[in-house]
Amino acid sequence: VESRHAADVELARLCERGDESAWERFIREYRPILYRAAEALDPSGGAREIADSLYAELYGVRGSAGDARSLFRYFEGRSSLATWLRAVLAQRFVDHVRMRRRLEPLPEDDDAASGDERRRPMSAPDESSNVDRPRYVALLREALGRAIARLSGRDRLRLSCYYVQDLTLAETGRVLAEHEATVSRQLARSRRTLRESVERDLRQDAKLSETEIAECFASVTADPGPLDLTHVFDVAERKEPAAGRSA
Amino acid sequence: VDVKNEQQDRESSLERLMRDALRNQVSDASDTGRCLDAGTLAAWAEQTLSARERAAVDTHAAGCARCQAMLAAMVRTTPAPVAAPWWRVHMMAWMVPVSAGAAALIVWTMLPARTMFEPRQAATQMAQPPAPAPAATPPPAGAFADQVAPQAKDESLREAPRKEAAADQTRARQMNFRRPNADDKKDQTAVSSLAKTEATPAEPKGPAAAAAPAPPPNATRARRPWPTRWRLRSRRHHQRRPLWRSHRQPARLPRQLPRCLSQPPPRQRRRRDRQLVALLGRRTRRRAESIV
Repeated sequence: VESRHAADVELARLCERGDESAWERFIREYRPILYRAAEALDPSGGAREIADSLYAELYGVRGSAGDARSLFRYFEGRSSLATWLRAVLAQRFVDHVRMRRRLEPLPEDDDAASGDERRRPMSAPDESSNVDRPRYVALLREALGRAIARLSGRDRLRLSCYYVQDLTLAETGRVLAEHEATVSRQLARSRRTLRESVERDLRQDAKLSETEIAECFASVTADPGPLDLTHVFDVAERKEPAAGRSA
Repeated sequence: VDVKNEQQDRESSLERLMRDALRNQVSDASDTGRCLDAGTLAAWAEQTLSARERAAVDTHAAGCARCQAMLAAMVRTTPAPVAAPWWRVHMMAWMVPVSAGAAALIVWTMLPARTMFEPRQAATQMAQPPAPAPAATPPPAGAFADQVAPQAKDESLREAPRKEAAADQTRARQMNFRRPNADDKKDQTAVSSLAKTEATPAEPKGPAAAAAPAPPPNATRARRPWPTRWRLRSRRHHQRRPLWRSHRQPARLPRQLPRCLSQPPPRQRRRRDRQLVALLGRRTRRRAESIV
C-alpha cells in the first residue's frame, strides 16, 4: 500500500466496518466524482443508475451466511479511492452494455428479409454489372483479417481504440501513453502496412492481377455497406455533450 | 501524385472494413476470468503499474473486447488534463535551455583563467635553482668597510626602495590579486630570512662578526618567493588577452601532464629567470633596508 493512499485505505476500512462518520465523509466527497464519471460514460443517465446501485455493493450485500460483504474489501490502495471507484463504475457499465446487447431480441424472419433489403447497397447501380464484387469483397476481408493478425498487439490495440471504441486521437494516446501526434503517425503507418500486406496477399495467395486488385478496392469503395443506425446514434449522442461543454 | 492518391484511396477502402475486421480479431475473454480487475484498471489509469504489468495489460487488451471497452471507459471518465497557458508552454520550452546556456557562459567568462603553471608544479620545476642572483650573494666581508657611509648617503639609499615598494603594493592592489595563503606566508618568511642574511653583514658588529660565514644557500633554496610572483605575472598575461582566446592558453592543460610537456619553453624560462633574479635582488635589498 502506498503511503499517499493510506488515508483512502483507512477511509475504506472504516466504511467497510460501517462507521457512520466515515460514510458521511465518503458520500460527501466521492458522490460528485461518481456522478461526473457516470455522466461522462452515458449522458442519457443510464450510468447514473449504475452509480446509485453501486452504493449497495459498497455498503455490503448480505450473503447466505448472513455476513455483509462490502466491495471496499477489494480496495488495496494501489491507486486513489476516486480512481478505483471510477474503475468499478466503468467495469459495471461495460458489463451492463454487453449484457444488454446479448439480451436484444433477434430479428424476425420478415424483419430479417427487410434487413437484407436494407443492407443492400443503396447506391449500387446494377448488381449484374460486376458479378465478381461479392467475391472481391470477401477476398479483401480475409486478407485484411490476416494482415491485422500479423500486427503487433500494441498496433492492434491502437487501431481498436480508434476504429472500434471511437476514441479520439488524444484519448487513444492516453490509453497507450503516447502523444496525440505519435498516435496519428502510428495509425498512418499501420494503415500503410495493412494496405501493403493486403495487396501482397491478393497478389500471391489469391493470384489476382493488378487490375483485379484495383477492382477489389473499388468494389469496397462502391459498397456503402450496412447502415448501422444504432452506431450512428451512439456516436452522435457521445459527441453532442462534448460539443455542448466546449461551447 | 496519382500513385499516392490511389494508395490513399485504397487505405480509405480498408478503413471501411476495419471495424468489422478488428471486432472479429478480438475474443470474449471475460469468461476465462483473466480480464482486468478494478484495482489493476485504476492503477493503469494512474500509471502506477510497472513496465511489465503495463505491457501485460496492453497485450491482454489487444485481444479482449471487454477490456478494450473498459480501458476506453476509463479514459472517457478521466478528467482531461488541464492545459497550461500557451505562454508558459512555449516560453518554458526554450527559456530553460537558453537560461542554462547563458548561466554557463557567464560563469565561463567571469571565472579567471587558470594560471599557466600551478604553484606546486612551478615549485617542483624550480627545484633546480637558477643562477645565483648577484644581489642575493652575501657581499664579501672585505667590502663591508666601504658600506659604512655618512648619514646623508644612508638616508637617500633608504628612501628609494621604500618608494619602489609602495608603488609595487599599489599596483598589486589595483590588480586585485588573490588573498595571501600559506604559500605566500612561506614566501614572506623566505624573504625575511633572506633579508636577515643580507642585513646581518650590514650591522657594524666588528671584524669578528664580519668574518662570520654566510648562511648556506640550501637554507633558502626550498622556500623561494618567485612562484607567487610567477603566478601574478602569468595572470596579468592572461588578462591582457581577449576572453574568447583564453581557452587556448596552456593553462587548461591538466596537472598530470608529463614534466617534459609542462616545462615552459626555453625562452620563457630564461625570461622568468631574469625576472626572478631581479625580484630577489629588489626584495632582498628592500627588506634589508627596512630591517636596517
